[in-house]
Amino acid sequence: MAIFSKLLTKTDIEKRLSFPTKCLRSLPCFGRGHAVDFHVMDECGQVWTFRCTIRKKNNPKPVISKDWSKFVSSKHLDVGDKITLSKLDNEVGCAFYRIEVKKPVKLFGVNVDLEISDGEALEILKVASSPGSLMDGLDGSNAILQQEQQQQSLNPKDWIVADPQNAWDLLHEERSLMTRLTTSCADLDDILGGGISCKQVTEIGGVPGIGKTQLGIQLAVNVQMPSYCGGLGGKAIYIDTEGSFMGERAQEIAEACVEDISEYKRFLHKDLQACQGEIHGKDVLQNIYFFRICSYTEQIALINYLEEFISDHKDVKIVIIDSVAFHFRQGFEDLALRTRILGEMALKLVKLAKMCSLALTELRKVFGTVLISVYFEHAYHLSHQYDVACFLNDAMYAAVVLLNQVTTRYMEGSFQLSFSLGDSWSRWCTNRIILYWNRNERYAYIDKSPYLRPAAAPYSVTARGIRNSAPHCKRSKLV
Amino acid sequence: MSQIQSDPSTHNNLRPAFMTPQKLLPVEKCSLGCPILDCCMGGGIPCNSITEIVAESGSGKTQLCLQLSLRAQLPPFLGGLSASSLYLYTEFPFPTRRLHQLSSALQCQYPQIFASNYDPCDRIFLQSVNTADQLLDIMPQVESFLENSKTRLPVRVIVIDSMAALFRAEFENTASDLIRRSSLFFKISGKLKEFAKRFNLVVLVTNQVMDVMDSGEGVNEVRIGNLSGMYSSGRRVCPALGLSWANCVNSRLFLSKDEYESGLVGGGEIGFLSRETRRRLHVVFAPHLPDLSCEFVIRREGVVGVNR
Repeated sequence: MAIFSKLLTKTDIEKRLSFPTKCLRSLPCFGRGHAVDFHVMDECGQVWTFRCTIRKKNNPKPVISKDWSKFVSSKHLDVGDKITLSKLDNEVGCAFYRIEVKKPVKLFGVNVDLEISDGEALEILKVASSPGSLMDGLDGSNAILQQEQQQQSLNPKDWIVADPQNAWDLLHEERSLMTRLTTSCADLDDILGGGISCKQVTEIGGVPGIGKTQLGIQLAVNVQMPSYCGGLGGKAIYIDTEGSFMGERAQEIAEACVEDISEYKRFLHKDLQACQGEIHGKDVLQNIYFFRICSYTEQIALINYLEEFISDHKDVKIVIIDSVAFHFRQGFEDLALRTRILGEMALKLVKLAKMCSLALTELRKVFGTVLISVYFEHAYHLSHQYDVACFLNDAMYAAVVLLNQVTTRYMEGSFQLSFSLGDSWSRWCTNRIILYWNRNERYAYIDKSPYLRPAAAPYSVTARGIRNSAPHCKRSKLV
Repeated sequence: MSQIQSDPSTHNNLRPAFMTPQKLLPVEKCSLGCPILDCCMGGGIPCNSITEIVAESGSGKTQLCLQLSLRAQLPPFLGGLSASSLYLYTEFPFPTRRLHQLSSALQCQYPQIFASNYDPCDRIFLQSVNTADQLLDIMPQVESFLENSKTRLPVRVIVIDSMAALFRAEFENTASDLIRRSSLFFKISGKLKEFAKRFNLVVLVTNQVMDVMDSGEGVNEVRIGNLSGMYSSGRRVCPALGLSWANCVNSRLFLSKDEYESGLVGGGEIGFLSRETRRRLHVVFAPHLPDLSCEFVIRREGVVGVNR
């Protein structure tokens, strides 16, 4: 449980750390004194003794001193860095404290405010540039690098640029390992670096009718395709909360996909054709585990159960929730309850993700892991007019503004649902793709991603599924 | 009929059961009785789904609703569901005369199906609803009505005509009211979707349109669905109830009407300028349909599509 997070100020760095009075009750009991010592563990496992001092009269104005200045110099903390102090209860009942440091991360020169710690950021970078070496990521050189990173807070940007050739090789290797799932739209795959990333949570949002469900069905079908066609040769879990999944549409897309593959195979090696078993549209539908959810309790129950389900069905390579927000928008009067439920749900998904990464380590380079593609309809509202307009006018940067403004301006109002959902999900949704209309074309925009550049690409929804936008549209765009 | 039985596992058992989409096939649909309209909607209005009809008044929304409730009574080989329907109306008065007119036209069309002593109107259950809260309040009654159908035919169609009227009066344009309103949307639609799934229902709701006044930024300017702009009677319109309601429905259809001068009739020196109304049905968005539209006319015997 986090006690407080703070962006460090000049006084905090140079003298002592001040923090809100209301957080005092989470700290050890002061008794009759005005100071108390407590032990705090940092990410590296080092223990620091902090002293919390309060004023006896009027406003207590609590501050932290003693080892604080040592901590600051050891971690090279600077103004603007974010620290989070949290309290953890262990089995014995006595609490211990943890402190985490989050430095602003720069990627490709863009300041990305990631809600992750340094260690996690490094992990993501490793995945981004060397997915193949994830398993042996703890060998000598990387471990040293990791230590160096923590000690010197190495700029990740330099780290990538230092060895571009190697990164390219690894990227190539990554493609050959098929850790990406094609969307069947080449332009979209291009901006996504080959497709939807399988090691991360991807959030896809957009207005009704933009093609969220279509993309979901397409992914559920594509995941079953053999790896030479951009699939993962696995099965899909499709969780439908809205009732928009239509069997006939899935069949249509599946049949078109199977047709495309047999077409493709004719151009490919003759021997491959012989050894690969034929896939039929019928089988494709059989390999989608479909859940229809009618209430948020069911949704929670299902997510709890998913863990067990996936360990029984190891060939599941994609989980699609369409959409995650629907049942959480049905007017929770009790905000605390809603927050708690969402927290629980997030926690379960953490567990799920952990379990799957475990499976990954066990299976070594069998490329199985789970992608949780979360459809989160942004809680647009009448009052969001301005944001939406901004976003539509200038998709490149205003999209970020839209999300920021939702979180800040409506914090006291009931937009907290989208806020809390957004907040608890933002940790898990490593990538966020926004779908929108640009004149008469559908566009997908990478709104958030730890390593992809923000980019937009047109796509179209055809009878055969998600495909490239019609060529004449692209020409007109170039002109 | 076996599919109609409620599945207890859906709401009692906390371990949801999976199925494969194969089981969703074929999607049951209720025909509107016109091949052109049915073709535009992929065979009819789908079960287990909420379909919304958006149009200005006098475009034929209610006509389509009445037609669907009557057609649902036909056996499956004639495109129906062999089912009766529940019609929740919010706008007064209920068009009883028109219903009788359509009903007798249907009886004439299928005299062998409708025995002389059986009036199709008896298979349409009417209930007036005045406010959104009332609609939520009667949901338990609706549920028990769906469960213990003492009628010969089970209820498989729910029509709400119109949704916009429920929200017209008591909500102001303040933040708290808008929040309350959108949370009501999601509650109502959540309940309807649950019923639609348990009883394999066709849910048809109608919605009104508002004129788009400003051409500047505004939520009404956010494009939803296939049409870059909705035009009816020469005016730019947008569906009422906003974006959050659009998130609550599965498919949206839009009916437009436009008047054309079709030329002089009467001949001679004194000709009359005849005006003709052209109506079109557009698929705004639907998970299973492409961007289609078709023209239709409203005749005495109902709504019929025309090829032009």
